[in-house]
Amino acid sequence: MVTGRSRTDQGILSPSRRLAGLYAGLLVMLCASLLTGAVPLSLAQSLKGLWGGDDLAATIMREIRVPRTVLALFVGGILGVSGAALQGLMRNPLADPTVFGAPQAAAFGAVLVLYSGIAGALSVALPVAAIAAALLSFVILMRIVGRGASVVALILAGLAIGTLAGAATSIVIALSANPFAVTEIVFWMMGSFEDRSMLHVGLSLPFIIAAMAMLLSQGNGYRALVLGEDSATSLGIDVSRLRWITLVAVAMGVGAAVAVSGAIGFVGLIAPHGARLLVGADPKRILWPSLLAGSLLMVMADVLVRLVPAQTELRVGAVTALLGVPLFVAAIRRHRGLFAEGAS
Amino acid sequence: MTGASLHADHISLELDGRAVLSAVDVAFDAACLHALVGPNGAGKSSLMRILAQVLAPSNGRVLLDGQPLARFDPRQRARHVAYLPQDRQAAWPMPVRELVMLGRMPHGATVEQARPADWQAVEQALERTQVSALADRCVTQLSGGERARVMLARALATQAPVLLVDEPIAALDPHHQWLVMEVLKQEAQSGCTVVAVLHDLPLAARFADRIIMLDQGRVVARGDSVIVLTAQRLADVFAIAVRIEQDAHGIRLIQTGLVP
Repeated sequence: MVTGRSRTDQGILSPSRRLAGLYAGLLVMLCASLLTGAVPLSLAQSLKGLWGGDDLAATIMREIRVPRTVLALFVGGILGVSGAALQGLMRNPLADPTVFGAPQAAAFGAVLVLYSGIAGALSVALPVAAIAAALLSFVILMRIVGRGASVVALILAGLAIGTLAGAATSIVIALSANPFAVTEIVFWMMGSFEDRSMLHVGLSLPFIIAAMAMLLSQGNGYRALVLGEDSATSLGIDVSRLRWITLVAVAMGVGAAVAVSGAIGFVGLIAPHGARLLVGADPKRILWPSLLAGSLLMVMADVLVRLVPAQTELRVGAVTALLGVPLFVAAIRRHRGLFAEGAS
Repeated sequence: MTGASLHADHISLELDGRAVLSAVDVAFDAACLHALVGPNGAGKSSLMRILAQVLAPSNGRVLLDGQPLARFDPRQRARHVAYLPQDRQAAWPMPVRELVMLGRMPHGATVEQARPADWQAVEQALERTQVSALADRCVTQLSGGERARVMLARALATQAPVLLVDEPIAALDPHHQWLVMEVLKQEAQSGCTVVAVLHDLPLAARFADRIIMLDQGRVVARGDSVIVLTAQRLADVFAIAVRIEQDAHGIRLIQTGLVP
């Protein structure tokens, strides 16, 4: 009889030691993000600008680089943890926030505001419209499938909402008479943290942090779902409640993220797969590492776009997609073997 | 273990306008191994899902020691009723020991925050189902029979007064079928109320204290094996021809053919 097995015996601590590398990588990338930009600043100038003064370095640090870095950190984090939560909920390694249509709906809300020109006059309108559209998409989703809906019904309804939002966005772009507005919309849709301010941080962070807290608190539910909905219910999990908490959190967090960064793909898909390499497949245990991995990937991509010389700054959404597609294909190939049935 | 009586109180279930269960009224007693038998589509798994409260009946209720189970808090209910569904798939490649620890979730335990008593319950369950050697293996790498025993260990680890198991021996070889039936019998002898859906009628006759036979959503017979498993009833319900012999352990069923 083995009683009171130590956590080290259970192999719990070694993955957390591996997590230290993730923390270190994120710290390095955060520093790189604060030190990288169009205007070359020395380390001393950067630190001085960060903590005080009212010269150019202080303006660059506090009004450009800090908001940009904070947004990349939190947007990446919410996309990563949303992907992990949805994969746990749907028991599917290829699930991603886009399956429920919230990011597409958020993008449509933002594009409407850009098209109408309100965004130029009132900057707060853009994030508000995107968050409102994401939450509206969630309300419509609930109205379509009803309470107690199956995951398949949710995916199909999410697909319909996402497709509709994408089509509506295309129509808005096509109808736009102003070529500058079209350029602005297309650039925004590719995703970027360029020219973001503390206003964007203040508008999006409360929603993103609340969503993160909601998703991180549901780990036991995702873990119980490993055995299916019937088993999870019999273990005392209210699966219907878990489903709606997850959907509300994803709609809120991802909606707020899309509002301030535009459409950035694949982070929600890749981050949980990276986390699994570090801590195993347990759906509860991958939540926090997925958040960190999403942050790391996003901050890294945002540093990369500033380092590549180009006429206009590369879009971070394009970089995450370029990184994401090969990893996505690799994930499919990996899981094809990983989830094969054992020998009988 | 202190058992609890479970009562399916006039349970009816309709799905898509079809009557799956019709006024099923059965009491399941503590310290008793009940075998739920019947042909495919008789409503056995639906009744088990209703007893476990993962499916709501169209009519009727489930009572635990006279109290409606639907009114229990989900975790309180989970501490009283352990349920092993037919589906034995695990969505993620988790270690066997950690998967069995899920059975302690109703007691507030997780792998990260388990007390010695929780690990003890897990190790006992692993030993009883003879999967201790697989404890550090990944559940998705196991054979169907091994996985079935791991899932049973997960249900046993809860140490609930009521144990509901749906086809617990379906994927097992004869050795492990017998082993699992012995484990279920021991659970009942320790005071637990055990309900098992079984297709193996000879093993049901050998081990079960009571047999409940369902056909087309209705209870057609209940009682001990001698009363329920008659040649005529098996011909009527299962359309099989059976020779029945009596021995020191009860009756033995020998199938001799099909009834046209």
